[in-house]
Amino acid sequence: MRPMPMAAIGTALALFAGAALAQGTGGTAIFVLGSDPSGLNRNLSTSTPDGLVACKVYEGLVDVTPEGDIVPRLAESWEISEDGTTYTFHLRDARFHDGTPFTSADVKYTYEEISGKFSSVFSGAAKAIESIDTPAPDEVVLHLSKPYGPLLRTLNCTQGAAILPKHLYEGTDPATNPVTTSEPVGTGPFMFDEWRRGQYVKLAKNPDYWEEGLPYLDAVIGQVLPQASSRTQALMAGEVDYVNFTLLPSNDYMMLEGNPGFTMIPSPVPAIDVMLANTRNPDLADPKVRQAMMMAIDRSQLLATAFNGIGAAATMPFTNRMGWAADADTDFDALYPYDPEKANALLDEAGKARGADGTRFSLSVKYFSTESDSQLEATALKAMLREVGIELVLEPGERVSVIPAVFTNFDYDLALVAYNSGGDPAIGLTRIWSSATEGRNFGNPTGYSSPEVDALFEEGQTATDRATRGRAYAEAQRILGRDLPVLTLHERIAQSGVSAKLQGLEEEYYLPSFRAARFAE
Amino acid sequence: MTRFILSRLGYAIPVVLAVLVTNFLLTRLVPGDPVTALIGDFPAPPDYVARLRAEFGLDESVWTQLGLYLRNLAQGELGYSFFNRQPVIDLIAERTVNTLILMVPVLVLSSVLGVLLGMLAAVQKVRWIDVTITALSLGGKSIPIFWSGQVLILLLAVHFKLLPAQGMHSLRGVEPGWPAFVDLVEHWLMPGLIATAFNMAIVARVARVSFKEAMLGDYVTTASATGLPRRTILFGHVLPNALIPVVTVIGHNLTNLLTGTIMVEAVFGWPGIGELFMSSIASRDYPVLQGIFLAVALVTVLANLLTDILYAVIDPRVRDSYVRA
Repeated sequence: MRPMPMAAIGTALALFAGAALAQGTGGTAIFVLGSDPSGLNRNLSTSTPDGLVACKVYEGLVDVTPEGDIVPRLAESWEISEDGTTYTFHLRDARFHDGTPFTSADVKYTYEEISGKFSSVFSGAAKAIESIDTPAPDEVVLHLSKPYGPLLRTLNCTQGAAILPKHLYEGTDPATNPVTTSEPVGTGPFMFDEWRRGQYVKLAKNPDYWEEGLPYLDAVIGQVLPQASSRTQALMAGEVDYVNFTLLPSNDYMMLEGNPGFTMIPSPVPAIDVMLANTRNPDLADPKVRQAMMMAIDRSQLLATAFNGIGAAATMPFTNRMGWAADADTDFDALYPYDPEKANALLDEAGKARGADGTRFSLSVKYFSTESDSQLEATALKAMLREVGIELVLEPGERVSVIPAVFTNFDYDLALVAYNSGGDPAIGLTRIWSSATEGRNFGNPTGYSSPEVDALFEEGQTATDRATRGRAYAEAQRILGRDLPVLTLHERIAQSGVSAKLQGLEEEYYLPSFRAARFAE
Repeated sequence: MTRFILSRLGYAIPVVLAVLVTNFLLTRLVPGDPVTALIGDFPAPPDYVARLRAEFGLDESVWTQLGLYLRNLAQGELGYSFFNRQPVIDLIAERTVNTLILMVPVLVLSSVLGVLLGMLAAVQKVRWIDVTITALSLGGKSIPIFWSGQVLILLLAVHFKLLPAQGMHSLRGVEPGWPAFVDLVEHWLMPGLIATAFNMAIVARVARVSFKEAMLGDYVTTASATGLPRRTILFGHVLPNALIPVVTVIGHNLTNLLTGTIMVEAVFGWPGIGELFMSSIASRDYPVLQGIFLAVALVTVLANLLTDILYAVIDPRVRDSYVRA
C-alpha cells in the first residue's frame, strides 16, 4: 500500500473535525422560564422556574428516564438489601463547581438537613429514611425504617434530592444562604454564570464535569417570558430553543405539530385534571350526589371542548398511563357512563329535589384564572350540570388567592385543579386522597378521610415490588372510584416544544439537565 | 419661583404618604398568600411554611406591619423582596432603567411629532394627517395592544424574521459596543413605535384643536394685518398660545412614564417596571409592590410639578401670578 501523503491525512483530519462540528458541540441553547426563579435550589421549592435552572446545576445520586428507568448520576452503582431497608451507594469521583470534592458527607447533610426539612416532594422518602451512614467518602448507606417503593426514583434533582455542598451550607440558614438565593454551586453539567432579574439566568459549561466529553453546549440560558403566548412566538422566531411542557399553552400545539422546524416531546410524567368536591358541604356530603355528577358529565365532550382533544377522557381515579397501578375493574365508562337521566334519578333518590326554578342546589366552582383550559372546562361543566338541576357559579381567581381558599381554609364547594403524578402514585397522586395531607397546598382538601384507603396507600408506598404495590393501588382506586370525593375528569398529555435543531433531550426527565443536548446542523 | 416649588413639594409629602398607606392596606385586603407563590405545587412541610411566614413578618398584625414599614421607610429602607430575595431598591432601580430606555425616546418622539402633526393638520389643513391622527387615537383606544402587538410580532418577527420578537437584548451573544447598540434598537423598534404611536396621537389631537383655536385669535389677525411673515406668526405667536393644553397632555404622558407601558412590556417581554409590577402582584410580593407605588407616586408628583413650572415658562401671565402670590 502506498503511504498516504501528509496532505491527505490533513484533509482527513479536517473532515473528521468538520464532522464532529456538524454533529454539534458548542453553542448556546435558550430555554424559557415563566418567571424569575424564586431561588436556585430545587430542594426548597417545587416552583418550575427554580427547578428548570437548578436541575442543570445540581444532580441527584440517580436520574430517571422518561420510561421510568433509573440511571446512575452521582452514584456510580448501588446495592439494595433483600428486605428493602438498606441502600448502599458507591459514589463517583466528582467535584463541586468551586473545586471542592463531592463526598458522602454532602449526601448525608443534604438529605438530613435540607431535603428532609424543607422539600415537599422529598417528604415521603424523608419519613422512610431512619439513618444515614458514611463509611467512606465514596460510600453512603441509607437505612430505612420500612421499605419505601419509590425511594430510588426519589433520589433525583426533580424530586428535591439534588446533592448540595455541605461546606457552603453548614451553619447557615438554607433559605437565605446566597447559594440558594443567587449563586448555586453544584456538581452538574452547567455552572452558574449570571442572573439578570426579569431577563435571564445564564449557565456556563462545567469544564470539569465528571462524565468525559459532556456537556456539549458552551452555555444554556433561561429567558424569562411571563406571557404564555410570547413563548410560542419566540420559539417560532428561533429566539428560544426549548419550552417546557409546563409553560407551553396547549392551544399552541397545533401551530408546532407537523412543522418540521420543531419537535414535540410528551411529558414523561402523567398528570390528571380533577374536580375536588368539598364533602363538608351538605349538598356534596352524599356519595350518591357525587356519583350522579359524574354521570352528568360527558367526559369525551369535555375532552373535545375544554382540552382541544389533547390527552384522554379519564377512566379511573389515577391515570391509564401508569398501567401497573391501574385497576381493571374501575372503569368510569362502565361505572358512570354519561347518562343525565340516571343522574337525575340518583339525585332524586338522594333527596335533592328540584326547586320551583328546576334547580336542586347551587355550587361555586373555583379555578385558576390563568389556566385557559380551566375556564373552558368550567363553562362546559356548568352547561352539563345544569341539565341535572345543579347550578354552578364560576369563581376564577389568582393562584395565590385560590390556593389558600381551597387548601388551607376549605372555603369552596368545587375546585378544578391539575395534579402532576411525579411519575409514581406515592409521589404525586396519593396526596389528593390521603388523610395526611389535609390543610397543605395541593394536598387533600375534600374532607374525605378513609382509614382503609390510607392503609392501602401505605402498603403501596412501602412495598418494593411493583406487583404488590400495584395491587394495593388498584384496591384503593376501587374504593375511591366508588366514594368519588374527587372526580378525575381528564388525563393530560402535555408536550414540550423544542427546536428541531436541538437534540439529545429525549432521554431526559421533566426538568431536563441538557447534559447531552447538542445542536445539529 | 423657588418658594412656589418648595410649597408645591410641601403639599406632595402628605399626598405621597396617603398613597402609600392606602396602597399598603389595599394590597393586604386583596385575598392571596405570598408564601403560596414560593413553595410551589406540592404539600410543603408545615414548619417550613410557618418559618417563611415569620421571616416575612406576615405573622404580625396588619397595623404592626404598617408601622414597621413606615419606620423603615423613614430610615430610607425599602425592604427586601419576598420572592426575589433581593433588596427592593436594587430590583426597582434596574427595572426603572429598562423602562426609561423604552419610554424616554417614546416621550420625546411622541411630543415633538405630536405637536408637529397637530400643527400641520390645523394650519395646512392636510387631510391625510387629520385622518391618521384620528385613526391612531381611535385605534389606540379601541384595539388592545395585546392583540395589535401580537399581530405585529407574528408578522415582523415570526413570519418575515425582520425584528426580534421578545426582550431587550439578544441572548445568543452580541459584541459589545456598536453591535450591542444596534441590537438594542432592533428590540426597541416594535414596542417603542407602538407606544410612540399611541402617545403621539393623543398629543396631536389636542395640539390640532389648540392650534385651530389659537389661529382664530384676534392677535393673529392683527399680526397678519401688520404684514408679519406667516412663519413668525406661527412660531412667535400661535405656538406659545397653543402650547398650554399640549403641555398638560405631555405632562399626563409623563406621569404614565413608569406604569403606562405595562401592556407593551408584557406583550414584548420588555423587562421593565411594568413587568415587575405584574409579576409582583401575581406572587403578592408586598415589599416590591410598595416600592413601585412609592416610585410611581413620586414620578406623578414630580411630573405635575414640572408641568406647572413649564406653564410658568411658556405663559408670562401664569408666571406673573406666582410672583404676585
